[in-house]
Amino acid sequence: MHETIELIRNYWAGIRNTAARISKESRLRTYAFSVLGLAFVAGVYFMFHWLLTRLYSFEIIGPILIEKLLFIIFLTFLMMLVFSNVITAISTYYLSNDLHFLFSSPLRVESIFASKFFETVLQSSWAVLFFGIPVFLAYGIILKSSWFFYPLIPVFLLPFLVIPAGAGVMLTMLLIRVYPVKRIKEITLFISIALAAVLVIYFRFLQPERLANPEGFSALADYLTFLKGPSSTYLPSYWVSTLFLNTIRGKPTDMLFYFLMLLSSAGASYVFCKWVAEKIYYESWTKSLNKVSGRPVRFLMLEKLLGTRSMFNVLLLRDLRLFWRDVSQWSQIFLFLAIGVIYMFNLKSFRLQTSSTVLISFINLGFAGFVIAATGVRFSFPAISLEGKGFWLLKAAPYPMKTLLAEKFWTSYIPLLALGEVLVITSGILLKVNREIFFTGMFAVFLITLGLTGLAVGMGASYPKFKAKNPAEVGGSYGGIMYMVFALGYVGLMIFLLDRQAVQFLLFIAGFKQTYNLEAWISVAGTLLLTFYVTFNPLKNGLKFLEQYEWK
Amino acid sequence: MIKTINLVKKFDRITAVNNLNLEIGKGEIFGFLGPNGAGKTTTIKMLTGLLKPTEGKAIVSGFDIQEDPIEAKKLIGYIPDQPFLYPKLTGMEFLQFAANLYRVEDPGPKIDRYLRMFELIQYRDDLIESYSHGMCQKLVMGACFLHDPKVILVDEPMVGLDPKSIRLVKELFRDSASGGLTIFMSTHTLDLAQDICTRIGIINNGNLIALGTTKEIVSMGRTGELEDVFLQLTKPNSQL
Ligand SMILES: Nc1ncnc2c1ncn2[C@@H]1O[C@H](COP(=O)(O)OP(=O)(O)OP(=O)(O)O)[C@@H](O)[C@H]1O
Ligand SMILES: [Mg+2]
Repeated sequence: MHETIELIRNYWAGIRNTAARISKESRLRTYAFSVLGLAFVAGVYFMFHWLLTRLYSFEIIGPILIEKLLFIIFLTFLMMLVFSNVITAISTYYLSNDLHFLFSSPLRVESIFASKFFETVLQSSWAVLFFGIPVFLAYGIILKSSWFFYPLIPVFLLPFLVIPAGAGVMLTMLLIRVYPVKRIKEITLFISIALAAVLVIYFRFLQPERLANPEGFSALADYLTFLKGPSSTYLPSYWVSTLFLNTIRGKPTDMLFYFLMLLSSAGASYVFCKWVAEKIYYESWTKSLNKVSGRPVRFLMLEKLLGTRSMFNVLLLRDLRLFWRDVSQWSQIFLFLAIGVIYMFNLKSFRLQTSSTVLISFINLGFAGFVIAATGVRFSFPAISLEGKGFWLLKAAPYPMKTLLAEKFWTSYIPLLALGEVLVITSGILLKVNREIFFTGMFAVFLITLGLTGLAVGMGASYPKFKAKNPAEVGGSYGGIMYMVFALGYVGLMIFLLDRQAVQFLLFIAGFKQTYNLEAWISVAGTLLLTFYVTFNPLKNGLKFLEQYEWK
Repeated sequence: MIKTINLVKKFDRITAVNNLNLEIGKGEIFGFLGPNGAGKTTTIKMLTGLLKPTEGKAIVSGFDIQEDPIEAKKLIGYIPDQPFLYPKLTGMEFLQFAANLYRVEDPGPKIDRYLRMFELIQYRDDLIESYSHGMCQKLVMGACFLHDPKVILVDEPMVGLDPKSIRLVKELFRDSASGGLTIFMSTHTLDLAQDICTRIGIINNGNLIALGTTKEIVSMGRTGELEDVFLQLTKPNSQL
């Protein structure tokens, strides 16, 4: 016990130091994230406040609907928690760097297990708390609970969080006995991203905006009524939601029963997990150290095709290999596919509501720009940073950084352009726009993608994070946020310039029209100049930065 | 082949390298010794162009590394202290990539030779992420010889190598040096330095405190062991 507390204190000190360093390194980022976080919590709160008020107003069934919603929320939490505990446990119990030290020290395995359990619960549950707290507050306020409900929320949640953690950790230990840890990590990563994509699409197809009108809302009510009553009385999610509801209503006897149920299951889950850990944790950890030496995909065709004629090809071949062999890289494509699907879906439902195609097309263009910018922050901005700790090799080699930057630029531009053009072309067809707007869209996306790629790759080179562990960390850095700000500003300006005036000029050039006016000419020149500047200036700065960069 | 003129490197508060003047000729094996944090890695990084000197110049095989980086780098082979490689490439692919970076014509036979020499041939198609530390070290060493450099800058060459590989590297260094290659290496293995270096420099707190042929340096002590000289010289406030 003493050892465990010491270990947890250690872990805590580590977190504190990291937090102190981050807030010292980048004030802006700390503020930005705090504001965003608070806004999110407030947003969730008001959304649920509204939703619950509406549901509550249904006669007779209102209160029942609210209860059912809570059951569903907790059931979702439970499933998410088991999954996120598996993912977290893989890194806390098997991949974390301190394990070598811990296992070589005279600490008992139980202590290591216990302190890691604490870490796992903390890391896997914060998201649920973040989302859950405002929801629970809304419940308390709408159902007019007495004051003691609020301080009891964390007391009730704690055992609820421990139960799936025990299950998740146990599942991880059993899995690792059978499969290599790297494989499991890749597979869970893949599943979670695919799941996220499916979830996002599913949510979109539910058309939450329908709730704004009464019919849509009663559809939700019907749906909730239709769901069978909370038959799964054996699940902790049922106990905790019943516990919440009883507390809000002030029924102490029922409260006690369900609280004891939760507490005893949490205890059982932990003890059972610990028992399994005593049997297999150490052994499975040693096994996880074995390195998998699977033969990777060879890309023979590609090798032949690209050859080594130019440095550009050499870098390209390397990057393609690295990309396809890293699940965490390519699996993100699913997320962007999901965004694409949603985008198309949005357009279709949007078209039914407004009549002006021209207006929609311009909004659509802005949307496409936004999607490209967001994809850029995930794929293009981190391109240089992903050279990672291996950057010394390029820096020590007699090759101008220009080639590297050019390769990163083109490997970003081509896919982004394809994405952008697919978006405008399909949306043009869906919206049945006229020829003028269709071509303006294609032309605009061509330019916007050019500018955004230059901005992303260039700024990524000016603000590299070679020590980052994944692209998300690079995108969330100071440079990434600045890129996003500039990118959105640029897209906005482009759309402003590309107003209908420009369309005329383009049509004149293409031979569809006989005349054009001066304004049109100016706006086209403006877009070209702006794009030229946004493409080359960041790249130039990035190149200068990389050439001067000191590899410390 | 290597010349530093009043080379200085300052990090925020620390002067890591202070006014370093060295001249190392063709075919020499220069041993750069010093306690932890003395400034060895910093010096090597300045010679490779990874760091920019605060003051002074570094000239490698006739080219100023800051003025003429590309020309200078073509003739340098660099082996860092922590050889981080791309985990998702195979050993073979890495060597090919390294050869291409230096535009080596038809690198196949050479790659094959070094893979065999370092006994990596049966692992060549495995991902580097499954390599041990010593295997990575050997891979980088092979990579740095592919383009026939004129100067090799190596930081701690023997860390993590097994006795057989150490013997191999020693012979490789000696043979290449007698063929005209200049080797600049930092090391803590004093036996190695005494064994293969033609000249030795000792740096402490960024200052060069001793420079001479291995014989000269060793004879500064009474026992004929480099270790004694080294410990004497790097003791706080000591003079020999
Ligand atoms: N990136 C950096 N930022 C600040 N100080 C640094 C940096 N790199 C090195 N130093 C400092 O410069 C000094 C020299 O470091 P260097 O790495 O050159 O030592 P070294 O001789 O290679 O040591 P070792 O034998 O441990 O490898 C040390 O005091 C170190 O703290
Ligand atoms: Mg060093």
